[in-house]
Amino acid sequence: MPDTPLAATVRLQQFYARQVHAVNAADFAAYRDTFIPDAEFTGSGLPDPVRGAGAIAEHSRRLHERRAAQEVVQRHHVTMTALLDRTDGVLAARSCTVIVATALWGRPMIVAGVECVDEFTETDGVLRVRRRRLHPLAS
Amino acid sequence: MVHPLTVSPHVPTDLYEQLQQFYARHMHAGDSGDIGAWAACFTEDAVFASNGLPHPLRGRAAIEATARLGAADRAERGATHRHLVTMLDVHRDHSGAPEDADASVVARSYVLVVESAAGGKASLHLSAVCEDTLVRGDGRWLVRERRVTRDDLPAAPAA
Repeated sequence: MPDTPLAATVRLQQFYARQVHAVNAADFAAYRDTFIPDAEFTGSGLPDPVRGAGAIAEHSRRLHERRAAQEVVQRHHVTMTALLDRTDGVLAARSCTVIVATALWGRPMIVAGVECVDEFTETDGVLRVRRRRLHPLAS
Repeated sequence: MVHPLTVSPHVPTDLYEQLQQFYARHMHAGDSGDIGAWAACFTEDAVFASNGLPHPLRGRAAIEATARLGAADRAERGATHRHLVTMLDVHRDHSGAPEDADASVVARSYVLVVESAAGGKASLHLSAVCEDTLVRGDGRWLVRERRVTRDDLPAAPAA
């Protein structure tokens, strides 16, 4: 039975919470597995799309190591998640993500804000991102 | 191999909504100065640990007393805090007896504290991870254990 819109939205909120906790806690194996193997990731200052869950996770890992060397902790806050109406039956959603970074002994600062549009697939009850597009909040 | 994170069942919609409402009311109470109502969201024997505290607070009374000190300090400075709870992740608690899995949950969230000074601008004051074990009591959710890890401080050593 398909989810009601509320159930689907709540399911996405839980998905994003687990995905964000994984990447911010440097659990890149878990983060990788929130994307399908041949997922596509565009935007976020990238000149070209990143293709493949492994490459997406590796990109995040390199950025994390750079921040860790500077003793900075990053948190993604995914908000305003809204289901997108699609005629092709693909589960898709748009969110506003604010990224906050805190240096050791410092105060948190907003370092980025992006609009995130995700398309999902579901296999054996498990949601994964098949395509992610990030757009800066400022046009 | 599929990572356990992605196959761990999501909790039902109504349970997730209950906890979102719990955190909204809990934080509204504390931020508005109703420390009694905020503290009443903990069990009598609750434990509150943080890398911002020299030692864990044990018992609702101790938790409430410490919270009142913080509220008094902000009142003296004319500052208001707003706790924004995001990225709520909820799991059934399987650490205890099997029957407890239906009566308790583990919730992890991010908390951003926005501080506003009287007549001043709002600014981000603190970012933290909040990990709660919640149990049912008197027909509502109560925090039995809370661990707050502030991002601006060194991580607490493992217990």
